[in-house]
Amino acid sequence: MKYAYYPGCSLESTSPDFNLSTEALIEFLSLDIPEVQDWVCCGASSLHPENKLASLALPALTIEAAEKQQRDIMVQCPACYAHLRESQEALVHESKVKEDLKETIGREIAGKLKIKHFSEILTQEIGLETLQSKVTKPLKDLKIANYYGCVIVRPQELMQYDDPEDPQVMDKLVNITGAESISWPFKTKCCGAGSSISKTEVTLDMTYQILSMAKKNGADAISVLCPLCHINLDFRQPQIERRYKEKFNLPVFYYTQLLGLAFGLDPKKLALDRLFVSPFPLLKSKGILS
Amino acid sequence: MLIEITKDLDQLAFTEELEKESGTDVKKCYQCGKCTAGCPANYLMDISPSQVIRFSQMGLKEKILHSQTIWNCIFCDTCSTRCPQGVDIKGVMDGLRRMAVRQGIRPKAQVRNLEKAFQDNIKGFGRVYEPGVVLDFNIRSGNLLHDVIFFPWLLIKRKISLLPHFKRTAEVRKVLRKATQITKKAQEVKE
Repeated sequence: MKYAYYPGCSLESTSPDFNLSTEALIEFLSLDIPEVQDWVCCGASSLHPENKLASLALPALTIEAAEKQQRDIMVQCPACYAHLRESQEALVHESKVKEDLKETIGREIAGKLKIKHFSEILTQEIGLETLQSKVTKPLKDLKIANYYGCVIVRPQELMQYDDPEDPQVMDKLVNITGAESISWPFKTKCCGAGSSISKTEVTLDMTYQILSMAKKNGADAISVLCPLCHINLDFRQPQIERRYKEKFNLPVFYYTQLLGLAFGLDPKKLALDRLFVSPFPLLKSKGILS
Repeated sequence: MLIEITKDLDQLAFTEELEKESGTDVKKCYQCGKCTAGCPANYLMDISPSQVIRFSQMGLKEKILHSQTIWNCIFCDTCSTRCPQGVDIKGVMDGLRRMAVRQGIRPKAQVRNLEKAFQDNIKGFGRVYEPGVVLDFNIRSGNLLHDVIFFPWLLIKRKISLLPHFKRTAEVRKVLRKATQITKKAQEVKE
């Protein structure tokens, strides 16, 4: 297993908590996963509507950068993941687009590397048993609603991540921490991330439903694997509470933070202090932190 | 709503064009309504997703291209994932947007402003600096304080980085320029 890590722009600029907790896990598990040197933006969704070719060309630059390092790509942001996958499909399978990409970039890019989400590498390659054996601080008595969002599971043919209605990857990882993954219906309901800046009230409507459903199903906290889902559920939670006159007080963890806690890592290193909805009262009340 | 089924060739040509643009066969739809039932943005739409597909089958071009629906779709892909007939409804929405833009029908300014802000950020830095995107978007939309009031709080929490990161900017700009040229050329050949 030889991967290089592609954090993407969100983890670099607005989700350092996801980035830091990922790096903490890489270090703790002694994984050889350096950053992809010279990675660039995946284009997000901004290039797609008018210029499909550009939206395939930018991720290809990052794919090429990883190829130069002779490594596969490990990614955390589901949107980056989707764009890399799409670009790879075009590089490997679509001969007409492949020609256009060659002309656009000025070089041919093979694209024959593996692209995996970190949660897949943890469950499939490192293995749940190995991870379980490293748990020193079980997160007992903690009920977690695992929220996957849309991008990581849909479209299934492209992402090949997990079942699009009832995915289990994060549930399995959360369960080894000693916390309990609850059963709830909104695991892959959209948080409205695409509207977060341009039509904020739409996003607030959608995230309200997610928080409310998690609470109704008995969750103490939510676990996510997407930086945009996190911004909407955590940073916008006070806005949502004001708009709907309802208190949630639901901490929103990245799954990497929950794993790190169970491994006994320093909460500062996991950037728990950077969460907007403070998780400390909950963690103290459950006896997880003193 | 009473709709006359048409044999107008222009309308049939529209169905064909749309199917080509979106790469899916809208004729497969048998109106079960599952896409509409699961759509989280349905409440923002003037015609529902299943209606969009029905109108597409019937070639009701003007009705669809001028609907709010195509701009309010949030591309979560729940519809396409659940469609028992394998119709790519999200792909249809995406295709309709591109067709609308080609006809000079533009989305609401907000959507365009955000796309622009993103694109300029990519061109400027090679990597996106998200706080910069928000600022740029606000300037374009004339609403300077939108979300910016939270910036000090975000900085205290060390939730956002202070400065953008620059990477391969000249190359990124070159690639984007070239991609635009090729796309335009292909479009001209088509027309």
